[in-house]
Amino acid sequence: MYKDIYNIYETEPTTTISWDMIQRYVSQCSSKEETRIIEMRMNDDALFAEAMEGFMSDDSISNKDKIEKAIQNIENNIYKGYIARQSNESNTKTPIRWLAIAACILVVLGLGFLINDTIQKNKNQEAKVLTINSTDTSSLNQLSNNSNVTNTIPNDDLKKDDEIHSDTTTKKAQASNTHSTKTVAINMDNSQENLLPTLSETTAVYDKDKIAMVEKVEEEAAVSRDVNDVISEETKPTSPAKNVGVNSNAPHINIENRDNKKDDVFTKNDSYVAESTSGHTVGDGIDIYNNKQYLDAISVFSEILSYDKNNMQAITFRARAYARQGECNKAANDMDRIPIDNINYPETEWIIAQCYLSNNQIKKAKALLQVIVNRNNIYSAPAKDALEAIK
Amino acid sequence: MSKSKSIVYSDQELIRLFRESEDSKYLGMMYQRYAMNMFGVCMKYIKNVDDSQDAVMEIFEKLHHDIKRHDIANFKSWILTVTRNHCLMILRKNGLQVEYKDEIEFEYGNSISDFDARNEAEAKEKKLNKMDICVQKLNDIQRLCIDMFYLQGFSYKEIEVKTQLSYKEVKTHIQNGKLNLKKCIESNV
Repeated sequence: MYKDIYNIYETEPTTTISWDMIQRYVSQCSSKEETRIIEMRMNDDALFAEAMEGFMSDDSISNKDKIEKAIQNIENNIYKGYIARQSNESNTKTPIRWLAIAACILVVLGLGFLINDTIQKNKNQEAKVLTINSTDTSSLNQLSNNSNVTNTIPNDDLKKDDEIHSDTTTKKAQASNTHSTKTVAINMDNSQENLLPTLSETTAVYDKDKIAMVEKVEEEAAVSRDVNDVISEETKPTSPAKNVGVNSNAPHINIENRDNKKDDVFTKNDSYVAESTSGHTVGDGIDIYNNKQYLDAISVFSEILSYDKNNMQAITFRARAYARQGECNKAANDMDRIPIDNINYPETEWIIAQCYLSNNQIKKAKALLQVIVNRNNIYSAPAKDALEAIK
Repeated sequence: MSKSKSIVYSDQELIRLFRESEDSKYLGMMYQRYAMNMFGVCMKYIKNVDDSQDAVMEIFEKLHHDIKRHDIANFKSWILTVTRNHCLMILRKNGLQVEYKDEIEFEYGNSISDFDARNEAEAKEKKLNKMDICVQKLNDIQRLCIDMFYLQGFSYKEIEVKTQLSYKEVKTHIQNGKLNLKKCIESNV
């Protein structure tokens, strides 16, 4: 019997109730069907029921036309509001989109520069990775022993140094009192025959362990010097440097004492892509240099520099090769092209100083050694020793 | 807009689409669906055409943000609550006494919302069987109004005339009777 009441559960109205229908209902002009539809909806739909209460209030009935207008306004305003909001949204989204694109481009460019910079740095660092020489205390003691030979430097030789290279080096020294190179290893010639001060070139490394080791060695060397203050005054016979034409009367700086050591040995680096016409790269040149084939190394670096004149690696290693070869002036010329803040600069400077000493260009050697001392870098201590030895 | 006119979305679909795309057109469709009723509700409380119109527009602005923040199970019930609260807030702001509906009507309002929210089609048969029993449990006036409205098909006005009750009383008795029926059926299912 009451099964018809079941329509109270019909929650989704299927008939659209228009404003006209509502108006007719409110003014009691609606048909029986329309009345039924509206009242059924009022029972099912709380929102509609409350709205109908509003429409059936005295205020609404007395303002029938106004209400109709208001409803139209609301619908229009909602549409306008939607349009305005949509355009606002698109207006605000557009610059954000462009900003996002610009940001992406900047990020990509930044990454590109970063990667490029990193690659360049790696190239430089790999070139600078030097294996530290095995430095033993005995060789350091030998340095102390040999420090007494300064008297053997003939005064005549000092006069020979008429080419003053110190001007440029002094200027550079003023510019750089600090340098990133951390360590120095003083390597001595193991040969018992060579009793002249034998200051092997030092090696810059970035390995902290090696730095620690070198510092320890330096400390030991300092102790050894104290102990050996009263070492024999006798000037021991000297032997000429192996590859450098040396005045036998001059103090020898043996720069070729590499038989038992691996001094500034560079590994071939693939990143040195600059190739000579013969197909040699800077890395090849460094390999050749490490094999002590200095003339070959010079030709390779010269060839590379003929078309890549500002290749710092090539300039640096050609300078070193010249120095090893005893061509100190050429080495100095190359060194002048190296920026003072170049990571390779101090070591090259030190090698050239050794070259001057080997060539008995004492004046130049002194000037350069003094510059190195003033730089207060890792080569300053051995340079000071060398200066004292010369005096 | 024109594209979406051809598609009839449910309220839930429109909410979902708006949340996903943040495209105001879906909200606009929703408002066009309910703007008239919202205005009617505002008229009920504020009793002023211009103020009611402004109130509906204010709700439109407000809901643009609120709809994203609230979990809306039944938009129709939710918009009614929002509209009602907004109108009451306006009244309070204007220092006017808030004229609350009587208790029965308030209860009715919420109960309808619940009704809408839970459509239990599968329990139809069980409910129908219980219907006879539950109608007998209604009080006389409610049973009379329910009987006249649902079974005999009289309008509110006709019931008003036949029972000597006011239009509002007829409506309230029918709606509360419906609520009690629902409660009775639910408890026995």
